[in-house]
Amino acid sequence: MSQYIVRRLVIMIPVVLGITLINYAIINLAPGDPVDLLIDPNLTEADRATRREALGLNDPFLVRYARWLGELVQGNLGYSYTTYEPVLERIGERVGPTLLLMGTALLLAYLLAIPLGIASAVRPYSGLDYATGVVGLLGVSLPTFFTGLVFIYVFSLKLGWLPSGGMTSLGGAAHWTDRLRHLILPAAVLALANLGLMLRLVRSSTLEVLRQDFVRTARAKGLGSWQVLVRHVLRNTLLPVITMAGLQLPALIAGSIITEQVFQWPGMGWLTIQAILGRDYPTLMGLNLLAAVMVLAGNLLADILYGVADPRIRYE
Amino acid sequence: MRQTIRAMAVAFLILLVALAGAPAGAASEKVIRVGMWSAPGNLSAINADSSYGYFIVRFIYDTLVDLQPDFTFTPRLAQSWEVSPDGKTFTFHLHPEATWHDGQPLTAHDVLFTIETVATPGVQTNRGSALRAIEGLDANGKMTGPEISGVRVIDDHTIAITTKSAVDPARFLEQFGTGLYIIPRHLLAGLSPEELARAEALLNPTVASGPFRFVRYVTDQYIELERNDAYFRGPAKVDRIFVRIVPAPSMATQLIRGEIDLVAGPGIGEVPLEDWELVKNTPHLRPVTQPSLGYQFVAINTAKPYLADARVRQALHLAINRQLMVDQLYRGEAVLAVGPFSPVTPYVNEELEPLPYDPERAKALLAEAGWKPGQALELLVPTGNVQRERTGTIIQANLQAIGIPVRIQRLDFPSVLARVFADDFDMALLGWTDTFDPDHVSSTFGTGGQYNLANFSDPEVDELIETAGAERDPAKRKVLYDQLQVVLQEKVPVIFLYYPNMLAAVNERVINADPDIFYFESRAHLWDIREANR
Repeated sequence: MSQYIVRRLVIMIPVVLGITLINYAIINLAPGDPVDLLIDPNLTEADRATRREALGLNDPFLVRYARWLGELVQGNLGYSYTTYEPVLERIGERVGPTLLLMGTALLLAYLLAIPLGIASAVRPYSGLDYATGVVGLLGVSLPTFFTGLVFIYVFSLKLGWLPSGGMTSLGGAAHWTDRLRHLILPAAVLALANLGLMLRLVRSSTLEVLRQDFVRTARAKGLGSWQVLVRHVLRNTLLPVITMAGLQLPALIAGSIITEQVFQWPGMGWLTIQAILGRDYPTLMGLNLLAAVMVLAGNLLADILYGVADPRIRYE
Repeated sequence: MRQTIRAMAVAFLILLVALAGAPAGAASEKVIRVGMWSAPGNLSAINADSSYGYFIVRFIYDTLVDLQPDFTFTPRLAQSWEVSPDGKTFTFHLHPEATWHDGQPLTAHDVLFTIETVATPGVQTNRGSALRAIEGLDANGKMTGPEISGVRVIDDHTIAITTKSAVDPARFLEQFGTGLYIIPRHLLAGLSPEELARAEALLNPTVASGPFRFVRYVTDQYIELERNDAYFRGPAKVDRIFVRIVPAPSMATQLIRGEIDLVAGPGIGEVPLEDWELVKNTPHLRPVTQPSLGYQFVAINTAKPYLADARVRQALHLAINRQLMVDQLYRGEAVLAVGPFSPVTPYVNEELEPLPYDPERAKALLAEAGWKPGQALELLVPTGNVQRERTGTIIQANLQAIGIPVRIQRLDFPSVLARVFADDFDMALLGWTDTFDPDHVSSTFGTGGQYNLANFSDPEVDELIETAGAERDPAKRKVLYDQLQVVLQEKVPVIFLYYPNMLAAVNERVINADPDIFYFESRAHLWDIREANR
């Protein structure tokens, strides 16, 4: 097992390198560089030239990539073109908020999806099944932009229960409940968006497991239906759910571009969109690198967890 | 299992209700909260990356003078100033009690240091244009030797600046007097250009001189400013100002809920048009509106052979139904443009009628100019601004109606700019925000001008721009600029569309803080709150 993990880790190195090269090329070949963007009547031609030179934009593409790589090896992700802060610091301060938001949202979605999905599979075509189907479909099809605004309109503007955005009140959170109040709406929006797919996944996988011979055998042995469900069905149902969780690990860090923006949540998704629109190459590269590592790590983790959930799977 | 779910749902609802209680009690401090669309990139007073950054800079730093909405200049760091009889030397007398937030005196040496820093080649800055007119600097406002002959410190509180040629004092006072934020020499002297770009004293400006001190910036959330009790022009009326980052869709909600008191103003924080009625009908909000300083336009690439004929460009202009855009897209909250000068400035030509919507004449002009039937045009439209995108669609329909097929290319803003700068375009839908002084046309319409996106070149226009720029007497300048607007309307380097109105709102409890296009945040020391809090 450990040998397998080491082998997978070693393979990751060239993969990550390849990804960074492709990313670097795409980012740099996108039309418009960070200096083009500064279309400011106060900016003289000389000041533009100075800036372009200082950012190293006059060098050929491969030279810039090599320089970036050289810095990376020394653990330096460079400085943002717009804020002049170290990229690592910029990303670092946003990981926490994103983890909090995405973690809460995904946890909420799983906590609802697993019991509801199993329940609707046990009694297919019941009222509960239809209800979860409708909720799931809505969650999948409504864009978070829309649900976000609807939630703000209803819970913030009309009912006045919750703040319409931000992570804390101005001046900082006086109490943990302040942070929680700000967390509820964006987490609910994201949970709803993720809920639909998970519900369907759990439902269909449960339906499949319920039809298996070992379930019939367990029932024939005289086990209560609750015990069959918990001891035999649940465990097998979880396999695809684990795959899904592994695939969602990167999202946990990458955050949600739209939801974070709508709710002014200071996370990675918002940073990403700011960096793209501002053509902030070093920040974008940092974000991409992190995303690449997370995707690979998520896949590896899912593979390992398979082995834990299903003793039939063994890695050599 | 069903019970469990029900119990969970109930618990969740209870939690929701418990959390819905009143927010933290109001402090006894006077606090004003401002909503702004985006986070500032950085807060460097010589190199902030955006209008968002400079909005904050104007609370915490000082310029030499302030521009008022009636187009007069009032003292700020300079208590008074004189212009020499030849019109070239401006002598500024600084406030003797001016100090930095750390108590150090702010003197003429700081002003000299700021000028030298911005004028040093290799220093990353976007304040260079403030110095362009100064004697001893090159055309870009950069030093060519160790000293600047046009800048002379007379004593600790007096500095004299000489310009290359005599100009309208209003032009120099705006460019230099309001365009340069004075930075502290005692914290920044001796730094190399590379060190300056990342200097802590500039990026985390806790020591500046203005009516408010910078307390902190909570990433993507808000900027906190507190009153500078030792401000030399007298302490501000409110204790604290928060500038909160509020995306456009939430602006109205936050105003109505009282999470913010006012918006940051033109181009950086406004009420979306969709929410304007809602805001106008909210009793505790005061709507504030004013035509903007900047206009929306279609740049026409005059370097393309098929667009070189002025009659063709005139035809394009006449074919576009601008009134429809103002009435339908902007619900009347925009003013038709007659030229590049905002209706709020004294330089707009009041006699000149906007070009009418006249598709028949447009067709006749096209025929006269020998327009090749079927010749298609491409229109670049930056995404992200709904009104602008819809304007693009109307232009497409209008031009198609006179027989010109138009292909709309929607791109993100940097991509549009890259193609425009590379001259790889037919038409592009863009907007300018200009200075108050009308000389901005030298850069946008003068031959070879830095922002002459249309590649327009016309001897008559060049001559008018040059004479008007060099003229000292505002009345004579006005005559020349009036003439220029007539010529530009004939030659159509760009299609002038409209000046959208600034749509702002202020909570009724806040006074003296109505947003305007004249940097109302420069007068933040006068902002106040009505005593009886709501």
